[in-house]
Formats: sequence, C-alpha cells, structure tokens
Amino acid sequence: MLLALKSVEAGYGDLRVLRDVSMDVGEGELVALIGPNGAGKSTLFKVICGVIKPDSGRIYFMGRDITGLPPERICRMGIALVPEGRGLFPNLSVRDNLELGLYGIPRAPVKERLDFVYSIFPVLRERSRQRAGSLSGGEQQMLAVGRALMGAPRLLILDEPSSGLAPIVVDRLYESVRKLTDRMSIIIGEQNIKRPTSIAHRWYVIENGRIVMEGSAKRPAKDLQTAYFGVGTD
Amino acid sequence: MGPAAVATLLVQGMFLGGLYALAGYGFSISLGIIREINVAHGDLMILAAYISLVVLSTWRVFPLLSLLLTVPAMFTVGWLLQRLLLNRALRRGPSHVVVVTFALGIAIENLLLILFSYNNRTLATGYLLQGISLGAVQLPLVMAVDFAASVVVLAALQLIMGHTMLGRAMRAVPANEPAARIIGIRPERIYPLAMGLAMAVNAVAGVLLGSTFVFYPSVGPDYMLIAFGTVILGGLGSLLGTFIGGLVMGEVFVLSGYMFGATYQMMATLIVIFVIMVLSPRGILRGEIF
Repeated sequence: MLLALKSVEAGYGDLRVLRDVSMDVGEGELVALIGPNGAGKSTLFKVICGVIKPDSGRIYFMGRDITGLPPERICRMGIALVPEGRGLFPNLSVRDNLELGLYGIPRAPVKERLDFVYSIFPVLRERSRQRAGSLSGGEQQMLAVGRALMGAPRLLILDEPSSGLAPIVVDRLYESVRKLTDRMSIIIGEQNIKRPTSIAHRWYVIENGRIVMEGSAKRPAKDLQTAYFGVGTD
Repeated sequence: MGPAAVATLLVQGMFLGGLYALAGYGFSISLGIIREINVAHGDLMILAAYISLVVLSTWRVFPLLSLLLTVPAMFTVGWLLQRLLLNRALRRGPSHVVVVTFALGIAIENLLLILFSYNNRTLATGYLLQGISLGAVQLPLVMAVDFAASVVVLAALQLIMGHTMLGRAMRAVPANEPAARIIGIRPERIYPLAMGLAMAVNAVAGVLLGSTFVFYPSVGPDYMLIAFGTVILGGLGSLLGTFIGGLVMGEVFVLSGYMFGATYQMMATLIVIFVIMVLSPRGILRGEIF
C-alpha cells in the first residue's frame, strides 16, 4: 500500500469530525472519496497532509509512519494536495504559483517540471506571466493541479476539483487527471457520484466523518447511487 | 525665481524623496508581508545610525563602509525581534504588535539617551557634504548618494521578491495563508526572515539619514511617520509604490518648505497624503500584496 490510514480520529477542539476512518490507496490507484458537504473530506485530506494533527490513529505512507509530521516534511515525501477552493495566490503570476509547488525541494529541475506541467495543461504556458487571479475558473483549477504536479508527487489529492466549473470543463479536467494515473496514485474527493466513480479503481463513501461504504469499479455506480440517496437518481 | 532655482528644488525634492522611500521599504515589508504595524520602525532606524556611529568611532573609515557591519547587525536584530517577541504578539492579534512595538520604541529611545545623551550627532564627513553640480543644479553629494542607494535597494528587493523562492514564499503567505501552509510554507518561519530583511534595509536608511541630517535619540518617530506616509501613499504591498510615495513626499516637503517655510513642511506633506488617500484609498499604485 502506498497510503494507509488506520482508525484515524480528528477534529477541531471538542468537535469530532473524523471517527475511526480507515482507508488505503495502492500504487497507481485512483481512489474516489464520495461524501456530501461537511462529511469530513477536506478534514481527512488535511490530516493526511499534516495540516491538522489527528487525535488518534496512524497514517502510513510508503510504509513509513507519517502521523504528526509537519506539512513541509510530508510534502517533500511526495504527497501533494489541491485544496478545496484551489488555494492559489491570486496576485502572483501563474509561473510564480507553479514554482511555489517546488517550495522546500532543493535543487529541483525547475525547467523540466515546468515543461511537464505545460505539456499537460498547455494553456498555462500561454498564461505564465498573467496573474493567477485573472484566469478563468477552469484555468485556475488546472493551475492548482499543475502546482501540485511540480513536486512530482507519488500521491496527488484533489479536493472537489469540479466545484464551480462548467460540465465540459470538468470533463476535460478529469481526462487530464485520468492520464496521470500511470505516474502517480490519486485520491479525488467529490460530492457527486457519477463522474469520479466512472474513472476510479475503487471508491469510499464518507458520511458524518465515517466511512460508510466502499467498493471497486466492479461494483456499479448505480448500486452506490441507490444506497447513497435511497433512490436511483443522479 | 529662475529655472535653475526651480530645477534645484525639484531635484532636491526627488533626492530627498529617494531617502524617504528608503525609510519606507522596511515598513512596507513588515506591513505587506507580516501584516503588522511596527511602531518602533523609526527608532530601529535611528538605532542603526547609532550602531554605525560606534563602528565609525572605532574604525575611522568612510561612513558607508560601516554598512558592512550595520546591515548584518540589524538583520539579526529584526530576525530575533520577530522570532522571540512579535510572532507571539501576532498570534494574539495585530493590535498586540502595535502595543509591543510602541513599548519597544520607548525602550530604544531611552537606551540611546542613556548611552549617547541628547546631543545631535551626524555620520557625515566633509567629503560627503561637498557640493556637486548636475548642470545648473547644485546639491551636496550625500543627497545624490541617498537617491542612488534608494534605487539600488529597490532593485535588489524587487529581485529578491520576484525571483527567489524565499521572495515568492513571502508574497504567498499574505495572499493565502492556509494555502501556503498546505504547500509546506510555515509563516512563523517566513516572518523572522521578512523582518530581518526589513531591518537590513532599515540599516541602510538609518546610516544614510545619519549621514544626511543630524540625529538624536528621540527623532525616530518622525521617520516612522515618513515611512508610514510613503507606504500608504504608494499603496500597501508595492515596493515601487513606496518609492513613488517617497518621491511625492520629498517633492511636497521641499516645495512647501520653499513656499511656506519650514514650519509648515510637515503639515503640507500630511495634507497631501490625506487628499491622495481620499481620492485613491488604496494608494497611488492601488497596491495589493506585492
């Protein structure tokens, strides 16, 4: 397993957000984490990245216990998070945003990594000198993913990448993400079911901070829909 | 009043403005990046001038050579100040920083008073005070040096901010702090470096102020006011804006001094700041954070 969570509990002060969460992600696997707003997806991702310290439970990455390590150590080990809302620096240029993806990684091959990101999202090359805040929503999401790719992560985590984007833009984004699976493992957190489960190898459903269901591509999404909503609609 | 006299006034205002901008850069950095108001900014500048005074009375060298010691010394002061004191104050809220630095300013003033008495001092030597001629304009050499230093420091800061990873991180933190943390930037480690940088620049400002004018322990707050003016005039978070803000203040200061007399210089300058802030509340360059 590339990433393994064992009975992770976490929250803010007295508020318990995650309860007994266990999940794992294999090498080259694309895993979807489905859950409604407030289910604990973002908190779970922040715990994996070390931004929030878990109250109990352990997190293993490449066989090493990373529980409680600071975010910069975890970033350097190869986990990159594209946060909800994209987490860009709007007044900095596209190029500066991308280069910040290499923060804390000494002697990184900047040019090579930029070329790699530009090859996936060519529009970012055209816009490289523009302010990040001046990009369209879709371009901003590409930039956020591109910045995470700069550090050549082993595990890429996308928190609600489709939020606020037109369906056609989401399709293109998902297509780019799917192509990345031969280079790295990916977790996608989303509220809707259809799109992420259509490309994921496995999926988990999180509700009220608990993993309530899990399955693989073999278990049809229709099944999941029925269980999730009680009815077979999307 | 002939054209030569007008040109002299304008160039004098520009050179003085360069010096004012130099006083403002450090303030611009602490306000723009750390988002804290360092009320002791002027006192720290004067502290740098006194450090230089001690250096120069030990080794009798050209005044600007003292920067080789004053700049690293003030970088260390800034780093320690932020790391040990202001980071903690900042965690409780920006107003705590105001209170702490206000107290720090008083402490510095009184320390300087005990060590150096109330006498006027200057770092200037005969050489620096010699007049130079730029066409019809006659001014002391030191003012040209002030302006040149201001431009050089601005260029160096722009280079650091725009083309180094540390500079990008300094701009990223105020732009989106949660996102900065996610990509592994720790603001509490960036702030001491930013403050060190601000105080290194402040050392240059202090030494040049001390070479251009006389100084005494309680003159710091006057320069804090000037620094504050250049920053809010130019637009928060834009160093180029601070430079332009400095030039505007320098020109207004010199021209109003010529027209209304020295008594009204500061008042005229503050009125101009007030008017510009009413017309363009985000400053001349409508700055965002760098």
